[in-house]
Amino acid sequence: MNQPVTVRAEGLSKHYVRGRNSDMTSVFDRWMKRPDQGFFAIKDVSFELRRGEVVGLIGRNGSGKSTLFKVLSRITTPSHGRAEIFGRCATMLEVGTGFHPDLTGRENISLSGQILGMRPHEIAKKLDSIIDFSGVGEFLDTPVKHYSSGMYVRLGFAVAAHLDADVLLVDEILAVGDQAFQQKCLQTIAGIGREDRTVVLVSHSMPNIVSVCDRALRLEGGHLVDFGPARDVVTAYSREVAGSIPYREWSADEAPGDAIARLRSVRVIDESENTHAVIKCHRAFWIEVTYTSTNTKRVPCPSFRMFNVDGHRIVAGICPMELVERRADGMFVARARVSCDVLDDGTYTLGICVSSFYPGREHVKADGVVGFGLSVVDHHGKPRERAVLQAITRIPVSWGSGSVQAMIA
Amino acid sequence: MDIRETFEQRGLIWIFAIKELSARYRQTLLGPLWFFLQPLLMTGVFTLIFSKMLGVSTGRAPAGLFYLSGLALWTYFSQVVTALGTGVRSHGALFRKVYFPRLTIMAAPLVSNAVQLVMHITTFFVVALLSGPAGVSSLTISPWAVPLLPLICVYVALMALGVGLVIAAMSIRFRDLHSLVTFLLQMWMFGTPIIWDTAPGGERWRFILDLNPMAWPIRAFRGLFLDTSMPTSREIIFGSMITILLIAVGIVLFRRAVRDGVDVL
Repeated sequence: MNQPVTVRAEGLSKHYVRGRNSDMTSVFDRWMKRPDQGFFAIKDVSFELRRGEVVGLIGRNGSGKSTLFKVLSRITTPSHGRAEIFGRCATMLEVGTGFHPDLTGRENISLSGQILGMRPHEIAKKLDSIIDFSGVGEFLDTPVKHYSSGMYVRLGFAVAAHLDADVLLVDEILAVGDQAFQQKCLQTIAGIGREDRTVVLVSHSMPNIVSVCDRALRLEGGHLVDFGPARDVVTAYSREVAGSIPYREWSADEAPGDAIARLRSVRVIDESENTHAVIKCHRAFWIEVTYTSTNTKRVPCPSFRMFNVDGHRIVAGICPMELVERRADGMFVARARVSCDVLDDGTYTLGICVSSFYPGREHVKADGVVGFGLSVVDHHGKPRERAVLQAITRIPVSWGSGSVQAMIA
Repeated sequence: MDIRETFEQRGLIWIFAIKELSARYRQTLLGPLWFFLQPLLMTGVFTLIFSKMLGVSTGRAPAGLFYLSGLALWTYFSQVVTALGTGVRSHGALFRKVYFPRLTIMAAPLVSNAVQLVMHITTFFVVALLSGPAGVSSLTISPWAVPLLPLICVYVALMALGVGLVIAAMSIRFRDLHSLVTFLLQMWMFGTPIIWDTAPGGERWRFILDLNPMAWPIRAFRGLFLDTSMPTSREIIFGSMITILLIAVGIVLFRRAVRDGVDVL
């Protein structure tokens, strides 16, 4: 850790005035009423990052991650405090920054590259490598508006991956692109970090943070609440987020979803039909999804995905279509029985989807809606003594055993 | 410091200008022909309405050449001002996503529209030479034209940058400014010696020429090539002072507006 400091934040705060508009009525309102107090998007954030490290930035939506990036990259100025970056800084808040749809891939490489801070001769030198990385090859001289979204994203990332900045700020852009490309991007980012530069990476994918980052920053409500080795920060974060609510309900207005299906409640219940922060489970527990459906043609099917504290998806299940009632309008409830034999004791979060098929369409996609602890118990309700296997799931495995002589004979 | 950074990254001005130019003429029917068509159409309309229908005098210069020359710098000026006025909004997405010296993107229209200006001036000479002995004989090219023409153009560019930056700064907060700007530019055009030469009301209206920093470059430009009046030194000094002031105010206002305003884009 005797590498030089590349990013330093000292008491960084950014204050916003809520919903400020400049039309006549709101100007008048402000004049008549007491001024709005506003809020702090980030408040008193201080840290130092060094050369050669990849740092994850995690936190819930609205915790100030993007604001921190904008202040660090000088897109916006801090209200208080200082942000210093030593060396050249490049920001990737989106893929394909500065792309113009009417220009060709080749033209956009040069355009985007220079806006992001590359010198023309650097672009010329790296052009082949960028083209190669993006894999858009034969479409290089086609206007990017004709690109598929995947090609667009690949080209955008390819440019950004070749930025020669000392500090690279990467917002959650890896959520796009297919699995293979995401892996390639992650490896590139990790590689950049090793090349004596500093990378700060925002991601909601905890496995990605753990696998790529050395350290992690965690923001909550604009405050820096945790900063340390990535695995520790992620574990603490997942515990906290997950352990919170085993039950969630939405009003008709707030319900996530579209015109066809909306999610109304999610519940984790134990064998005696109760909901607790820690589910005591003898044989199985249930995941209950309540949703509304308003279309006669489509049959929405609920599904769940279960994540462990590392953010790995460990179990998933979808309600079979033939079990879903075909009556269109109304509120429906589906329950999935999950056997606890397959799970370690621990903390889990659930993501819920409601989709229909032929053609497939996702009506609801809600991640991390509920979280619960799981404690497997014997028939007296006492914690069952089991070795923690630290495998993703405990699928039933048959064993045979005996003395060696007996086996040979 | 913003200015120094802008200078260091002046390459971006070219990039933005080239982007704008190449994007402007993609998927257009006539493409770069518009460089010539635009001034010709405008001059045609002006000649028809002001000269033929209303009988406004253009002195000893032929009406067509008179308007064509007057419109050259004005078109450049008003296009740059309009581009800057809407620039912050149309580049809002970029402003929110990446940092670069903001002045570079504002200076780009000065460059991209210069192409149109050069084409306009070329059109002027081509029309003069093609319109027979009358056209050719009306050209009275002053020997001063060669050193003065670029100076006048640079002056107009700076002037447009100043006005544009002030408007850009205000447009961040007030989105409807654009409609007002279109109207004001039109008013300004009538207050500028484009369809008239010396103020039609005589001495009583001379102050318009003094206070309008766009008046002298247009008169000077025309006077260099046609037999029309030249600006007085008073106009030039007044105009230049106003322009210097506008640039300074524009840069200060714009920097402040962008710093505080990127969040409301």
